[in-house]
Amino acid sequence: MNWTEWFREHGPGLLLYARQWTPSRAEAEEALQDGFIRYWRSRATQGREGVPADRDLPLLFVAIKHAAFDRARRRRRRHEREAAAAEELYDRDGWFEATPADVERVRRIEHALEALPADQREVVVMKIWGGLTFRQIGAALRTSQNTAASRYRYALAALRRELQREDRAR
Amino acid sequence: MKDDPTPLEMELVQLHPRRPSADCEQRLRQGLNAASRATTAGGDAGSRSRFGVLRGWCAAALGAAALVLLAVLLVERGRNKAVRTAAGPTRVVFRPAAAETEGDRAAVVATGTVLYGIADGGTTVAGTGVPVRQVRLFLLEQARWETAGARASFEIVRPREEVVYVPLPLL
Repeated sequence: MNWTEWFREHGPGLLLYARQWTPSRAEAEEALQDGFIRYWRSRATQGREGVPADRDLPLLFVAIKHAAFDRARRRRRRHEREAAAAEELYDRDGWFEATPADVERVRRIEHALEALPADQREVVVMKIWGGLTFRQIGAALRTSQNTAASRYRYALAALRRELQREDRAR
Repeated sequence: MKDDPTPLEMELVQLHPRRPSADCEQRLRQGLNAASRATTAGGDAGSRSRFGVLRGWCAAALGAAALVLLAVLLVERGRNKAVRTAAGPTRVVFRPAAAETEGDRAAVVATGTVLYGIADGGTTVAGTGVPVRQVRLFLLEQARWETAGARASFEIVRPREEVVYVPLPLL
């Protein structure tokens, strides 16, 4: 698998993960880029080449999260001086692809995901769209795989409740 | 956790996160290439002292200044927040230097600077109270060394980021 193929396969999951910590798609892409290059440099110093191995995926997620946090800190400082930039916090671009037929359902799932506690949401993203195992998630988040699995279960239960509540309200 | 997926999990798996844009992919590719070249060149620490004495550096600085001017024009025209990146190296300014090669001693024969990306850093206020626009320039500094008769040669490529501030007109 070459780099382009690898990025086409894993890019969407990594971008979705970056969006958990960024206010817009553009910021998420910046964080994805920063994190990826950070990871790439650390890997290059070890003399390793080629596309990232599956075992490196947790490192990539962590690098992207740190890059997003760094960007958020810089953004906060800038926004303190730049109140007029508030519109940047708005992002009308959804997290998932949607067709006209299912856009409503997809947006409701997005809202339900957004409403989750961050530590539960990131486990769901890493597990479902990042393809990581609970062991890998635990390593990335410096917690046990049981804790990661628990957060995942809590998140699914909360998602189910929220979607059912919305279904009843309609 | 070998449980069968629940209907909700199956529905979530069916959702497709949006793909990174082609622009993002291209910028990432350029960034990785730059990072790889920098690593191949042997890192910064060892070469920094040698870079300090390169005679062609003034010409490279002039080239960078011209590129800054280009960046200013681009930013003033667009005025949006999106990160913009040149499709490829915007310009390579190679300046032949007076090569003084003796025997197997290598000497710098050309230096140059490549602007490979520009990012709009947003509006801020300068110390004087004047509103300014921050522009980040992503540059690669290159220097080529050769021995007499070009029996051997090598290049040093060093990534550099510059931040420039462009005063904004008060309307």
